This record gives sequence, structure tokens and C-alpha cells, in this order.
Amino acid sequence: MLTQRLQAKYIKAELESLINDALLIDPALAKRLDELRRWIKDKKVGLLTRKPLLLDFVSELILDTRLWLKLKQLPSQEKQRFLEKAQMTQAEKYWYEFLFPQWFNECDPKLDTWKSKMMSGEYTQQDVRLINALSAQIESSGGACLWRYIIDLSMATDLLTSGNSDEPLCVQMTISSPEWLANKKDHWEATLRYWGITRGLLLSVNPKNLDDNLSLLADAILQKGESLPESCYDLHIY
Amino acid sequence: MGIENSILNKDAVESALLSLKAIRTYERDRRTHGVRRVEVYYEDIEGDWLEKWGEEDESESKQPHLSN
Repeated sequence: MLTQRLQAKYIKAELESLINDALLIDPALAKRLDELRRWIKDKKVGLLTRKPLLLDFVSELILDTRLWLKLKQLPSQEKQRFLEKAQMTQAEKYWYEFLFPQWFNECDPKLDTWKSKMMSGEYTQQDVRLINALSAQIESSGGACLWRYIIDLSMATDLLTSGNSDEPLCVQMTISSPEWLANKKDHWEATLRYWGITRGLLLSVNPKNLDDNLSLLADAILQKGESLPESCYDLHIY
Repeated sequence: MGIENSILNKDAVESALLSLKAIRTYERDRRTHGVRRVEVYYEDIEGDWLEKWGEEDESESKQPHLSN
């Protein structure tokens, strides 16, 4: 289906109108959005080669914020009706009810790092194909997945997954060599703990044989999602 | 709660469902198009929108200086 495409210049006005809306409903959210708006304004010269990435990031943030603001304003009975109709996955509920508000209510210690990574081009998203393929595999095995810039950049999470009834699991993949793995795990765990995330899985993977073993990896993630306790930061060498 | 609120709340639920549909679609677009999903929705990504970001704000912030 062909849709009329938007002019990129309107995104700024959309972000500003969203900040105004958020101001009345949740000032902390308005403040975080305004912080990003001002960052783009101040650093735009450094970001000129990153236009598609920036536009994608802001678009995702706008869509998430619009939904969150609407949900926040629903009276409890209507919220119940929404949940019945929406059939949200556990991963989606966890994102909108917990992680997203955590992000704008708390100080984000990684915000400066990822801003500079975005500007320098260090944030390349080379793993997008792998994460997409893994997500498709997890979904075909009955699980659910969620990816967002914020969970990737701020929360050391490649993928938020959930099974049928279990609690969501924050999954991070790493290709660290064995001698760096302990150090990597410490940093990863500290980040998850900072955000109040209680269930995490760090997967040490070998990129060489990953493509052929995606279905096994997806099954391992789902199985871990069901078997790990309510609070754990597990390292799995795959 | 009166009839008006009842109607408006029904609309609010429908409106939230549409927002959920939008973000789900956008997430799905990432599966199909990867990092190029913005191209589905914007036509001038490499245009001068970023260069012009904040231009009006700057002229606004200069006004107080002129009156000083």
C-alpha cells in the first residue's frame, strides 16, 4: 500500500507539540523529550550525516510517547477495556508500564555516551539483521519480542522477550572474548540493576556459527525465559 | 458519569488502540526494512530539516537582547 510520505521538517513541530502535551500530564517525560530536542538543536552540525538514524529514533520516540500519554489519561475502567482489546504481550506491558517511565523518571547515565556514539557514527546497528532474524524465530516458537532504541542504548538490552505467561526477560548478546566476559557481565548486570530490571540473560555467542543456529538460540532464550527465577542475571555461553 | 463522558471515553480507548497499532506497525517495519524503515514514511530525509532545526527558537531567544 502506498501512503503519502511526510516531509521530514515536520518532525520538529511534532516533537514540540508532544512536549507541550506531556507537560500537562507528566512533566518528567516533557523534560526528557525537551532535553533531546535541545541536544539535537545544539549538536545538529555533528549530526548531519546521521539524519536517517535521528529521524528514525525521534519517530519511534514520538509513537511510544503518544501511546503512553493516551494510556496514562485513560480512567481505570477504560484502561481495562483497552487491555482486553489490545492483547498486549508481556514484553509490551513491561515496556509501557515499567521500563519507559523508568527511563524518563530516572537520570539516564548512558545518555551522554549514546548521544556521542550517535554523532560519531559508532552506533551502526550492524546487528539489526541478526536481531530481526532472531525475533522472527522467537515469535514462530510462540514467544514475543520488543526492540527499542532506548532499551538498546540505555538499558544494555538487545531484545525484550516474553513467553506465554512468564515474566519478560532482557536479552543481551555479546561476542566478548573469554577474558573480558566477566568484566562485560559486571557492567551489563549493573546497568540492568540500575533500571530495576530483575531478569536478564547475557548470551555469549560466536558470530561464525550464529546464522545456522538461530532456531536453537531462540529456543534457548524461550526456555531460559520460563526456567529462570524471578530475579536473576544469567550468563549463558552459547 | 454522564453520556458525554461515556462516549468520549470510548473514543479514548479507540484512539489508544490506534496508537498501539501505529507503533506495532513501525516496529514491524524494522523487521522488513531494517534501519531504512524511515524511508517508507519520509520523503526528504537528506534534506535540510536538521540544518533548520531550532532556527525559530534562535530568533526568539535573540529578541530579548535587542530590547536590552
